[in-house]
Amino acid sequence: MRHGITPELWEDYLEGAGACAERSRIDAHLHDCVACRALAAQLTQCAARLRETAGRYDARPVASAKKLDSAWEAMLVRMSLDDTPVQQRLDELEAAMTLLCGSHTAARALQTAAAESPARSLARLTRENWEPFLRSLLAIAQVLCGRTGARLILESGQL
Amino acid sequence: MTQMKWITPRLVWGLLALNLALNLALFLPVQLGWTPRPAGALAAVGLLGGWCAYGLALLVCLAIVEEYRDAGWFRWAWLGLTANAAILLFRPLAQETLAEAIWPDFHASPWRLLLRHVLIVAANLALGLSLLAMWWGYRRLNLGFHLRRRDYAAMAGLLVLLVALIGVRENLTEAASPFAANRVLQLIGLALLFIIAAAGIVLQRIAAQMNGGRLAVVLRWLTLYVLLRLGLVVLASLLRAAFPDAPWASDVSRFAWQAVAWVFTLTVAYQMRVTLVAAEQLERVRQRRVADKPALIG
Repeated sequence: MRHGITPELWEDYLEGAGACAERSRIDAHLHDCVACRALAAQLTQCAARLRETAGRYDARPVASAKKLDSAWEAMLVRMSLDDTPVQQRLDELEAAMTLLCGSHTAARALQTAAAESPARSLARLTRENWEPFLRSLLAIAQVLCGRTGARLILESGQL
Repeated sequence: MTQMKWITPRLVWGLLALNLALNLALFLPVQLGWTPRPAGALAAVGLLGGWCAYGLALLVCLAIVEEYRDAGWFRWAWLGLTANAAILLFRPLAQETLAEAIWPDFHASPWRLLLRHVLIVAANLALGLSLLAMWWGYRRLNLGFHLRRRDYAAMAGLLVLLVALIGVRENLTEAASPFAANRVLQLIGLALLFIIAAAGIVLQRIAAQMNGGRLAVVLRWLTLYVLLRLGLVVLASLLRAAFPDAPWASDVSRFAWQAVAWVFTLTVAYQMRVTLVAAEQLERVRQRRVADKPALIG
């Protein structure tokens, strides 16, 4: 569970299902939390890719249910291994910047740094494009908070 | 920066309270008719208070300039604030009767007022340029800070006030000065003060849009500092017009100016807290990383 949102609630939310109150709660949370917003965008993207891939394989013979289950499990594990550090570091960076420059500045600085990096948006941040994003954020932090603040951002953002 | 972490906002608050308490201890017995006016003691408290406030601010500002060495416009902004503190360190010399110990008849000399206005204009120029550099720095970051209609209205109000003050400039201290340079410099200083106050409104808006954080506290104190400077000039003019022969009016104005010096010191002390908090957080991150390493290996 992350920020009070269980995997089941995420699933319902992204599929447009679930209770209205829960959906409103998640909407409100996403408005404020950059990391969860990025996660939601990433999950939506992932679901779209799965649907596309599923469509491509519709006409082919279906593998056994056991094989599909184990492939799904392997993919989930790989996803969690890939994204956890990125999400964690985004959370840490946001917390550090919020403490120094406020929540609005922190959110905008992360978005601006992502937009200026090859990732182009927070939702597309991965291990591969993390370094340019961090360098871009470092430049912003250096101006706002000075050298020590920039060093904090650099070390908080190391994967 | 860490060598100066003893200059905390709490220490500055304490020194501000001490300065005002000393002034009151000298001022109240005079008002109650118990003692004659201790002009020398009042001047000494004013001089030492001003030196102490701007001296501490100058030390911290120099460290902050070093901290913002690679920060482009913000480095220039802090250089401007450093220059403001350095210039204002000399300002009491042009005001206090203690200067007469070095230069007999200095208090009555027209050079005293010329020196005073040159220092005021130089300090205002440095402050104004530093605020403009800060505003430009925020603008270049493109973090979505923007002015609202009420900010433009406040700036228009300041412009109206400036025009009104220039209209009734006979109430300014230099209005009757036989030296044209003094009259002109006072008007330039006044105009600069209004530009600075307008920049203060911009900084206040940026602080509000930051939505919390240590830096917003600094910007709010800086706004208070620049608005107090303008407010006091206006208040002193009004008091002079309403009570032309009351010595307490000039005393109240002098105490308030001493408090304003400490507001600047508080601003830079809060800015130093930004760096110290960042350093504390950095230390925590390093400790966490070290603690996480064995777990990863295990």
